[in-house]
Amino acid sequence: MELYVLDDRLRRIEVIDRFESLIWTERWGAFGDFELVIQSTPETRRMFVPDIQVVTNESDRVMVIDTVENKHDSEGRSTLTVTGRSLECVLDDRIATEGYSGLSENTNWELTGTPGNIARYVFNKICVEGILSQEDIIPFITEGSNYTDTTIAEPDQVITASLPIGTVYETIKELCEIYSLGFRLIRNFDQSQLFFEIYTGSDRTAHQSSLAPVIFSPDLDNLNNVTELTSVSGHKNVAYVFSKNGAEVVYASGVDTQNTGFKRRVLYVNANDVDSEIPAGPELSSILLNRGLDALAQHRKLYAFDGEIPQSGSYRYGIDYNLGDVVEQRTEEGATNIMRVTEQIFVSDGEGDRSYPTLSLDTLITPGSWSSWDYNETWSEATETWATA
Amino acid sequence: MLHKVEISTEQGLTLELPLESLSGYVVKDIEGLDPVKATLVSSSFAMMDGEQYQSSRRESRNILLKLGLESDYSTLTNRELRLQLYKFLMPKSHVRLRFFIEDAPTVDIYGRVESFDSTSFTKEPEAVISLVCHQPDFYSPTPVVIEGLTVSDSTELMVNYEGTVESGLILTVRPDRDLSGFVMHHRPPDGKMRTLEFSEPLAAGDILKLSTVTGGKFARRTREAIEESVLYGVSPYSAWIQLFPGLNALRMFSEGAPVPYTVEYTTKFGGI
Repeated sequence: MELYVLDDRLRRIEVIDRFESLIWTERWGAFGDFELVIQSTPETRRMFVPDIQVVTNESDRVMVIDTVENKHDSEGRSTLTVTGRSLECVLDDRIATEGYSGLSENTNWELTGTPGNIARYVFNKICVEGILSQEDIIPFITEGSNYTDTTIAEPDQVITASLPIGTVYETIKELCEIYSLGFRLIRNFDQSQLFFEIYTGSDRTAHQSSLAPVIFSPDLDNLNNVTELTSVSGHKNVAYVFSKNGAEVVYASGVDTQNTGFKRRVLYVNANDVDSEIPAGPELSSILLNRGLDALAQHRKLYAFDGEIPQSGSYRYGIDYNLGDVVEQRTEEGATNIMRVTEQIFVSDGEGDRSYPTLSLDTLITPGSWSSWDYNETWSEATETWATA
Repeated sequence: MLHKVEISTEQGLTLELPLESLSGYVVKDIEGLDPVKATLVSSSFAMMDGEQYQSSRRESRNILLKLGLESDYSTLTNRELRLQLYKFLMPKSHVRLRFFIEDAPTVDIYGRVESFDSTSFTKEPEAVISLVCHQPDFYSPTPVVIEGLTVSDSTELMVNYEGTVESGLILTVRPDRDLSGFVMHHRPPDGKMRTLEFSEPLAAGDILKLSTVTGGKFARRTREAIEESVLYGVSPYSAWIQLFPGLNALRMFSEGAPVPYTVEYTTKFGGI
């Protein structure tokens, strides 16, 4: 793996191919980070200083150096440890609000639209138009994309979001988490252009036919040493959201509204910061619904999955799958999990170059359910009947 | 056959050690001239036979010089011989070893003295010096320079690389006309085509230096005496071309009239 230093026009000007280790992580719904360990020399100390931007030959993400540690140990080894975050972190330095006003007034930014469009609107207003300050405008932002269209449709539900003052990063990240969206700020090669995108990813499961499926399974020799962890200890499936002018019962996506008894896990959400001038009605309901979904998104079932994907595996990042894509993971027991690629990690060190994804649970499909892959079943033994219209 | 070793210090002192010498310093043995050991990285997986190869890397080289101290007692005593040797091979010092071989190119290697052990109170006093060469390759002290002209057809320039370890190159382009870019195609002995594309415009009188040497890659343009990086002119999909042992075909393609260029490389050997 090679690391490039960029100039102030986002063009590569230096290449570094000799270092002790480099760990580069890019994420679907958050900023990525990196850590470089390199010999400390006058040249490397001059090259790697905070705020310098770097890229690798494996990725279109830009990382910004934020910390440099120069260390001399008792054995005479001088190492420079350089860490930083991906360019999306600039959104953490921008404030999402519609204008300057005192905190005594209602400062929530109320926006109506689809979740994806609200996130784009916030970004455009603050970082492209600079409604708070022209100095907030992010340079080199251009409309466009280096990626083909994703196949998963964006949520088309029109919502009214009441966005409290926060950073653009927090605002967009929260919206994206609730509605299964990702965001990225990517460099268009050496063209001095940046593209900002809210995106969904593509369906690469076996349940579709437009893209080649990506299936990780011990049977396919592309998944080994699997560890799975399932926990419902912090799980909530219903939220009671209370505001000054009303309350709303919100169910997590896919949860049966008739959930009763031990299956019902209720979460209390205090929304008394919602503008008291908004009367009970559809607008308030929409805001409370959004709050409830937001809170429930943080109390999902925990499903942790860890497995090794051999380097000789059949899929390559950027070619067979990308961040945000949903893929299948099959266990030896027959369970099929629809997983989302939320992270891609690149490692380059004394043991060579490696790259592997982190998969997070999108949908858990248990054997025998209608959505399941008919593992070990034969047609003659099938007991189900066709659904009638 | 190896017939002489030359040790040069950073201070400019040079000690010649002819292998046929019978007095003074006698080279008794030199260990560590073979190819160094490679570390192979592999992973093992549950339910799979064998292992999966991941990568390999060659380690540093350890050269052991065993020198006999043969005093003629008329000019230098054994003790004086040993003390004089300290000037060249004091532990921690950085030295260059040059090996002169009959019917083969002379090669250099740099190393740092790790230890100097001598036996004084014996019938045949000797010194054993251990040197660690962090870059394990021997290299030819004189780089090979080949001149060529860009082509607009499929004519290839054949380069017979005589080394045993792959080596990067330094390409220098001195356009005598405006040049929108060029593509260097490389066909090594394994037949797998590699391409390096440069797309930053060059003007007549510019000098472009592009290095594909591992650990020292760059692309710099000198225009009106000002040098600046033009690494962004190298396509991100380009391969950093390395010459491999054997016949390497290079084709510098650009539209229009031929433009002069030179390719410079250092021949590297994994062992002698």
